[in-house]
Amino acid sequence: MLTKAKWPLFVLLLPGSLIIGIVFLLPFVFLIIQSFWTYESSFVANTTFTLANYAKLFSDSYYFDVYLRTVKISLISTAITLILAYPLARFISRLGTGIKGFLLSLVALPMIGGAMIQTMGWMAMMMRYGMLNGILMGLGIAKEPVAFLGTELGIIIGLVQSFIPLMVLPLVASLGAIDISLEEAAKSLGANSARTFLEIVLPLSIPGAVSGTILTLMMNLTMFVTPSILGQNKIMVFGTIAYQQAISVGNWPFASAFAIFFILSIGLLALLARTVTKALQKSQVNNIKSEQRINGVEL
Amino acid sequence: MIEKMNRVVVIIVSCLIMLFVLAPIIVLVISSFNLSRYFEFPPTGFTLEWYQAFFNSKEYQKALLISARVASSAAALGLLAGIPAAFALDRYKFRGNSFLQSIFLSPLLLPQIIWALGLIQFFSLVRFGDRSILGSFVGIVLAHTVIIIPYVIRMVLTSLHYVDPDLEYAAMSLGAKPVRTFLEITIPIILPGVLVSAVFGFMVSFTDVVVSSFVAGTRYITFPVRMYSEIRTEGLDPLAVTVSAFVVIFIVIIAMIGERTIRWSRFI
Repeated sequence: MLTKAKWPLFVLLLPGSLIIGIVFLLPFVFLIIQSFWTYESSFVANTTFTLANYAKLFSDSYYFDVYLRTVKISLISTAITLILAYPLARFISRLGTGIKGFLLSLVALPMIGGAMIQTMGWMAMMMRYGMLNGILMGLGIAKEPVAFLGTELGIIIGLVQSFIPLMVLPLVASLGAIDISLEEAAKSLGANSARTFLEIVLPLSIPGAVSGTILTLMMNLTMFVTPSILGQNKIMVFGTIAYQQAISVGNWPFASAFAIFFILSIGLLALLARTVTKALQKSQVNNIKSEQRINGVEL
Repeated sequence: MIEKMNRVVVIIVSCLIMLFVLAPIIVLVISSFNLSRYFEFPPTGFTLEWYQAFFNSKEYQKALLISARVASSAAALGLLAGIPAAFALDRYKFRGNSFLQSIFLSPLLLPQIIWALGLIQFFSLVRFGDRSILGSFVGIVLAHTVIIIPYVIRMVLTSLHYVDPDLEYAAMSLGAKPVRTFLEITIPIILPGVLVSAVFGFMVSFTDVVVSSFVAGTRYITFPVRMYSEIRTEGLDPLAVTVSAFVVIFIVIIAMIGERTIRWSRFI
């Protein structure tokens, strides 16, 4: 903009690039290297090359069970998060600026409050005679206190609540960008609310839903505070194993190998999701084209 | 008629989901005044006993103080590194611009726990004298700076989009040097975005538990890490809940002030 010289650009980018490059990207390189090192004893590893860490991962079915459990819990939580976040986002996106901002800053509170505060709140609620059971028994839904702590149910409830904000924000962005006159036009041409929603609103909100879903799934897959506290160490997932191996056991090479296997499989999942959504969008475009051809309307 | 009923249903459902999202925060605040030690519901009585205990607890105050020191240092560093970078990304067309932008934002997307695993190994090898920076103040602050930088860059980029470049050209054509133009035209316009990213960055660092619990070590135990290890070993106790409720009240007040004064939700 202001000058043609290159040096200001370089100077402006340098501090941020140094910090992100050294403190953020470089550790991933260390992670890969260390996953091939040999574990000796707690917090001691030597640099002898080995594949033992990966071999242990694939030979011990315990870790495969952990992997499957993590994926299962994450998929369920993400699906419920999407189902609950969508109507809320749709509601917020159609409000006036002032109240919309107020509600959005309320929705963002769990993000700012952090995982620890959310988890503590849930733990208080999930106690034997805590709020959840108080309500359930008060309404006569449950005769005896339901066990939430130490169960997958408890973890899923905690995860869904924590990540609704992550899902709502991109959804509000793409739902809010839909021109209201499009919906009005559809209605004035005789489409009812359901049809307007299915054919106008839903397709246009897919980009927000996809980015929210990917982000939420990623967070769910690598969560460790919620499963650790609400699962009471009875339900092990990737995050709790990684913490246990790295901090309690001190087996960094194995923790690294598990992490690399995990991030690679997440990457594959993301790639798959992208391919599927692209195919979906393509078929949608084809549908519209064929409808237009039937109606005799040229593009 | 049906339209009206639909609207009522939509509002009720939205309120219920909202209540669910805010439930833990609300419950923490209620529990901090609850007489019962076991978080019974409905509350058995009102008390300020736990707040009294908190104001007498040196240990929790120390943890909060460490968190505040880490968060303010990291937020300052994050602004120093993030604002110039955002400015460069917005105002210069150069090859690799969008690539660099996604690199800068990547700490928001890549799983923190996996990065943290690499980070403890890396930090344990970086030495000043005979000590590694793993578990040192510098180490924690650097790690938190990485968490804050993407927020700063995203929010400052958003506010830079509101700046009309013509204003800057006008100032310069009237004889202002680029530095003066930046200080007197650009900075005031992007100030709300900078302010929000400073506050947001501070709070994200203040409440971080994932990265902190990996790199914290034993000397600088921040408030969320203290909570985590205590709950894991001794279970939930009213004092810990009260300290968290105190932080929650603080966060809600900041969020509401931020929304009222500069509409901070547009940057989130």
